[in-house]
Amino acid sequence: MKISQESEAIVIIGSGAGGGTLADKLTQAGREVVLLEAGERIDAGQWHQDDLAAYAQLSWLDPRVASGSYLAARVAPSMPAWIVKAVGGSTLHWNGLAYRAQAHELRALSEYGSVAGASLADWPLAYDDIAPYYSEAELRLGVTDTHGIPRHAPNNNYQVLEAAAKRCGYRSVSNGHIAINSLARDGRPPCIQMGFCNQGCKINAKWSTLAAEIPRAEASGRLDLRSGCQAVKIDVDRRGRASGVLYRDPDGNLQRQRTRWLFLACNSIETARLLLLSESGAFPDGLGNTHGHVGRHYMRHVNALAFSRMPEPVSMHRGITTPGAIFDEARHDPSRGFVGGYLMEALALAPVSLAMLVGGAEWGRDFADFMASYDHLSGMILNGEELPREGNRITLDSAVKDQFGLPVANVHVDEHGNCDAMRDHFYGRANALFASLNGKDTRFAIPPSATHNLGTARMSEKPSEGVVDAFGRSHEVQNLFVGDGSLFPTSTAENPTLTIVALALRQADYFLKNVA
Amino acid sequence: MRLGRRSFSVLGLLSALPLHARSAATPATGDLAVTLHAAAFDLFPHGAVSTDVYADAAESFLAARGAPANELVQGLGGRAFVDLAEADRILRLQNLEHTAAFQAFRFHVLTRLYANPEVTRSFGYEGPSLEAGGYLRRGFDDIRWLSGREPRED
Repeated sequence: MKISQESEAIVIIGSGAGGGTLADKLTQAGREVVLLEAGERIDAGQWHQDDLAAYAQLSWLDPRVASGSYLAARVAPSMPAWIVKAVGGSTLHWNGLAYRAQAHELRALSEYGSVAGASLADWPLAYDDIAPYYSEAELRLGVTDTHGIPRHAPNNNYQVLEAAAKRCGYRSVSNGHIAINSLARDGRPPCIQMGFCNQGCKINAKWSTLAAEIPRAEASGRLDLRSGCQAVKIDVDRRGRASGVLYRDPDGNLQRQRTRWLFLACNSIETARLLLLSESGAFPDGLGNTHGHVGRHYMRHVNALAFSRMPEPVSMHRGITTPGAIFDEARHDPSRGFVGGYLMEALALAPVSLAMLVGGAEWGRDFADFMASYDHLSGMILNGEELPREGNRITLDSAVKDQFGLPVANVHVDEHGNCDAMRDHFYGRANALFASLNGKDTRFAIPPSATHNLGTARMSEKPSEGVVDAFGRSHEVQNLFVGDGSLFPTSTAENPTLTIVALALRQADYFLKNVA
Repeated sequence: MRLGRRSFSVLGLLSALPLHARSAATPATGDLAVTLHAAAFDLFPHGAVSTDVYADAAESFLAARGAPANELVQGLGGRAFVDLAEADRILRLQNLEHTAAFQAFRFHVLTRLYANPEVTRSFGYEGPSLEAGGYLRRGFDDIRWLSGREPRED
């Protein structure tokens, strides 16, 4: 259906975990919604079970600039983040790991204490405030081990992780809490263990907003989805309210949609960039940025890869890409030498991605022998809490412009020492885990492009300390909301998607009950 | 072509491959292609992989990136590189590994090799599986060596 550009509409920008969820909730509640998505609509039939082809097809490839001392600035200076540009956003390529944040992580500042060089903050909501929305999110996504949904049968790579974990005395290992159908459910089939979860699940056993929320919103007859439409600026009126969204349509022409209520869910780099691009007399430093936090406190997760050659075949590529995890290290325990916790998630990579990521700059017989032992390899990835820093931030780049002549995002990171302290601990634990099964030739690498991007429009109780309130509503612009990972004041140790969906559900409820 | 002195020179290795490993494709010609072919193999030496894969990687790099290709071959000492013993070839490559030309070539060969389904099948990677019904009934959980294994003693 089509909503007039002159009509003061509810506008959502971004169709991923946050925006797609918001679109569904609001249209189900009878509201008409314009959903702007910069990417194209690319359906499962068009996806490629091929790492390189899928990367080219689905990734946000528009340039950004990585600056600072972190790895991306050195080895991937125009690709600091690996996210999706398509209808469905990064839910197309996510791994399906649907873990809840832990209660203490929402009180990171109180629990960890102030950390020099970090800008820790407590979330302006408690675990009990979000718990019912976690439950609703788990029902929507079909998360295993919740609501009576059974776990998958464990694949080979997970069995290796589990066996090693037990030998090393770990007690919290599970292949549950994954948003991939173990049984047919919600009009989507069960998983057939194809792998290629990061390339778009071609049978839609894995949840995405493209497979679920967007079709439901469209079926309501109240969704006006405009794909290939990239927002470039938000106008404000004399009262300091968002009044319209300027965007480039698929032909590159500038269009304007009037708006009464605006939700930004562009993933944290573009949400911040759009706010910064939307300067005006009332907001000379960017929309809703009087206190200077827009773009700041940018976080990823602390990541590292580990692969080891087992004494006998594993064939890690068979099945779910990240089939389970060890949770024991997710606690806060500063005796380990760092604050916050981490997960160790079983991971498989196809040979070309393995070579590119774990190979580093390597070559020669030793490396070739490692690659040739592919079917004996087992892998895992560290996913740990990364501390926010004021200076880690998104700004408008001073030199590079995008296809529309606008400054691209400059993504600046200088890693806090906590990151390497956590990695060092992980390397020791991974070595022990693999060695317990006689694994050899264990290799580590740090992936340069972040798949989890958080914190650039953070929630706060006091307006001077953040961008939005506990419901994601701008402290300064009363009709502006943020509905993606930009909201997070801290990263937690867990993969962020379930929390993004839960916060979007909570925001939608709040909006429908209290606002409009 | 002159064979190298050591029995494990590149040409010796290539000529020792069974004939069925070579396709009917034209072998690498020209000094640049021949040198790059040898270097490609040294970067990721897989004796069981068809020589055509390395030849293709060399030729496609030459076609797409003429200047770095030239630079790399010059840095390796030209065509004479091919006749050196393996240890000497490795040394020459090591001397260049910080150059942009080397890194571009390495990346190119890596993607051609490790995204090649025939190559990776020989490593036990089975690739896309939708048409075959996934791995649900094709060994996704067939691991058996974990049970009954004694814990490793330190």
